[in-house]
Amino acid sequence: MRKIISFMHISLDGFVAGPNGEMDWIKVDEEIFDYAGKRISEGDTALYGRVTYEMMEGYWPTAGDKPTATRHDIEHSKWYSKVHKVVLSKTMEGADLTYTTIISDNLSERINEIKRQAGEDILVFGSPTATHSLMELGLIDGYWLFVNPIILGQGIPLFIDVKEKIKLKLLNTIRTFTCGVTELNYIVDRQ
Amino acid sequence: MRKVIAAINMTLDGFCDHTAIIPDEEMHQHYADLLSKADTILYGRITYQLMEYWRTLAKSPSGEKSMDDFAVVMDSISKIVFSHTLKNIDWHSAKLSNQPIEEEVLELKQQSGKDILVGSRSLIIQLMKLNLIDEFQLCVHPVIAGNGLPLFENILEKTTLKLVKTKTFSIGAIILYYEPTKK
Repeated sequence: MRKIISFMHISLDGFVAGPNGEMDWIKVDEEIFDYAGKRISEGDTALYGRVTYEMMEGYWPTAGDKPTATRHDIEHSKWYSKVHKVVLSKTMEGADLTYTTIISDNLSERINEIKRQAGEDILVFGSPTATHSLMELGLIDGYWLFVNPIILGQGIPLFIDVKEKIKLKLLNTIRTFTCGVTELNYIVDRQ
Repeated sequence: MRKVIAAINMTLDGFCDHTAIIPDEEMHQHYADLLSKADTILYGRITYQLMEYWRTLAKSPSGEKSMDDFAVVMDSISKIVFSHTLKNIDWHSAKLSNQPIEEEVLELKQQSGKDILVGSRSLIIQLMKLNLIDEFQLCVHPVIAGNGLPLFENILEKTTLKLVKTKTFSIGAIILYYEPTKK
């Protein structure tokens, strides 16, 4: 069965955004784009919460066409247009969206259905609210984290309402980047 | 000048909870080496009382080499304990501090000697606020605890650090080494 992996940039104290959703502290440079882009482009399905999805929709479909587009913009834009997008939202309607599935209820059932389909592991791009819902139902199988060298002090935590200890396995692909970010790659150890 | 090093274990969700952590031989060896490269360690009461466990082991070894080695260095390193409730302590290598932590640390830094370790969450928080930590060695264990005492409790100010290096362990823990970016 394919895995659902939470892909997040986090602060050293475990926040994914500031108190008002600030993400200006997140370091993403060419080196990280290149590295993360490799794994991302292997995916055939991407999972988003509504807010993140709307941000993506507002940027990626045309990002590759801009005169200032970088190589990364062009590549990711191309990938984005083809990838199967799964969006968790209680309010969106989108029967006519191409390559897009909206999940508004029966989260466990619908996600497990997708997990049972053949394909690559599915990354959840940011999307803290969706990630929390998935986490609560035990649907997250791994964490792919880019730990920024900063203590934010306050903000939106990656982990909330974790009722029972979750054991993890660190995968040995640990990498550090020149800008001071450390990649941590875990899978949930369900033994 | 000798460095003040905050060396502590935490879970991936940022809590200090020694029960969520299962150290192995490799980790005990690492910390025995760290202690032997320093000559003083600062503790709050709670961590100090936890560490008294090693005192017994130093007297009557368990037979497990990495544990016994760690007990020996823990027994010999000089410990300074900060507590309002403890009146006296009788571990030969430990003494109660009789002054505020800021003064104690500034005084220690003026003296010659090896690095100074800070092994308690509460002291790390206090020293962070005083800008007195020169290096962080945060050992992140592969577990999400869900609750506990947050390492960076009440640190409300954004603090940028400089990544120095990392070290991974076979149990899936990783130590992140950071330095402050400015004083």
